[in-house]
Amino acid sequence: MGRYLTRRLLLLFPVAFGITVVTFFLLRLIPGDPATIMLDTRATAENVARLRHQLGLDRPLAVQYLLFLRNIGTGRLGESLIYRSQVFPIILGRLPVTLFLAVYATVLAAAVALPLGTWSALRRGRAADQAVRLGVLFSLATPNYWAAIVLLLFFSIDLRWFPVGGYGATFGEHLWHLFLPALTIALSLCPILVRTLRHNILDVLRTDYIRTARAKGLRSTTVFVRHILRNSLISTVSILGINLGFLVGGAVVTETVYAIPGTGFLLIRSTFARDYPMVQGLTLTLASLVILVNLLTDLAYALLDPRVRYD
Amino acid sequence: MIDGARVAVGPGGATRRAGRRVRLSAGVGLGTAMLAAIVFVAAFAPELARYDPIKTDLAASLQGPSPAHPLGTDNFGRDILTRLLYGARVDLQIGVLPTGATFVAGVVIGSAAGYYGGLVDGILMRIVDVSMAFPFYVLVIAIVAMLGPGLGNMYLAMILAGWVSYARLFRGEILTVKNLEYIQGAAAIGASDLRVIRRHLLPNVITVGIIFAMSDAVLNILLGGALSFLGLGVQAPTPEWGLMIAEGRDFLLTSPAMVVAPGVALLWLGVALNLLGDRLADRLRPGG
Repeated sequence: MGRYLTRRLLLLFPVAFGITVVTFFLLRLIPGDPATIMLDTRATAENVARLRHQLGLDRPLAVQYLLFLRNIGTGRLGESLIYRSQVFPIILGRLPVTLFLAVYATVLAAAVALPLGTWSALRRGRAADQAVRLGVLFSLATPNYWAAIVLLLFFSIDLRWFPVGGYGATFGEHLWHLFLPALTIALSLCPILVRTLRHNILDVLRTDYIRTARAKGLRSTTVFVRHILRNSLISTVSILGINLGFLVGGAVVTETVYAIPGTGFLLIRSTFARDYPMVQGLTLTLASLVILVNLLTDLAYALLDPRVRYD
Repeated sequence: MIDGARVAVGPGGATRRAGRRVRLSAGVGLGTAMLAAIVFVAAFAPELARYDPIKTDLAASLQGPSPAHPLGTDNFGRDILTRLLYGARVDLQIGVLPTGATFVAGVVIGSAAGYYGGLVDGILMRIVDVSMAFPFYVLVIAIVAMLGPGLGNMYLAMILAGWVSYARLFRGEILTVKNLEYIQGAAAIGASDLRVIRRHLLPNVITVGIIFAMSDAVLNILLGGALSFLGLGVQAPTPEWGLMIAEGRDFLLTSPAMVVAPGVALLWLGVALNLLGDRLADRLRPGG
């Protein structure tokens, strides 16, 4: 385990380096001079020179990158052009909202996907399986912003069961406010989980140890719970890390439709406001979050599945 | 139909196999038909539509369904059905262009990395690791944020962020087949690298790529629609389904067709592609 952990942590460095390079060069994608574009109507020669200096644009590229790294180290990712303060504290303030939404959506999706995926796999090829697979096809093709609007219209405006937007102050209020947004994301996450789980269960069903378990006369529920479900779930959980990126992507759209003050909403607002440092900071933070969760998932996977350590 | 006849006469095992084949063919057939319908609509939109998709007529705004306007009109008095028909052109393009470009880039880079290994492969795999860390939507939106909103920049962002998954896929596939005897044989009798890759390796791996591209096209259409919905992709007054949903948001109660119709159209296109990809994957993976 120790060697695995060391190797896994060492692999983190090139990825972290790559992330900083990509986010650094994001600003270079701006057509023309970033300082002039950012200042827009206030772009006097003096202002442009000052902002260029502030952004470090008047120094060689390598120096700019080193400064960027130093700033990351001290948590100073740049000053928001809109909020006129450091972007990182603002992002940190919004992050819990997005994480809450992501976890909420995962729980909702898992609650539906677990029985559906299992049922579909055990009834492979029959009508139930076909129906589930058809449902998967449909929900994979449903635009989430469309689902968001339809849910909002039906449950919030028509039935008035849920609030139209916002986040609430207490945990209970969060649950209530974020139910529809989480459901919207869950609608697109659920088919992925169902598909993975179904596939994994079918794989496990074909293994020799299941045949052995059955041959030695174990009750079918024991075989199912102890052998089939457990082994299929382990590999299903391992895709959770990959799904976080997907969840955050879903949050961008969903938070915007439901006006939830999370990082996704902030990303869209900053994009329209041409708040480039904020966009850069958000990209860096969210990517770091994804590699952190991926790391944790991998470690959890290694703990759960002894085979990983022998690689 | 021939398969169907076999079902009736075959013995037990054969019946099940044939039944499976019928279902697969039915899925592929339905998917093809649904996709063909959209392609037909896109190709003949000017002939099928009775109105101009862009020209506004405020006197006729927000009308309900009528023989003249089967789906009613939007807030600018434009015929919703007409805009829906023309929208097929844009959304099909969103499905085809970025997907095709990332596919080609992935084939070239992925095969080179898989075939030659070494430094090229090492660099590619590090790029893959890094790109996997970025949430796809966030990366695409960040690139659009820098380049500026618009259809061209949206495509560029989708390609910049998307090619890596294809490169990874093709690299992996090439790695699994490159050591097969007949590939080694081809190289041994002096076939050039390009010939080995083009004639022997790619035909073996291209189907997997096409299946992946089908589901990827759905994701791209959803992403393109979402970006346009958010105001970052296709710009008004171009008829694009995601943008139409955004435009209809405020009129949902008075004119639900403005939101429902383009949503159903997107769903239709997505289901068609998913159905095709899913069933083709089944055919390739006999155990699945």
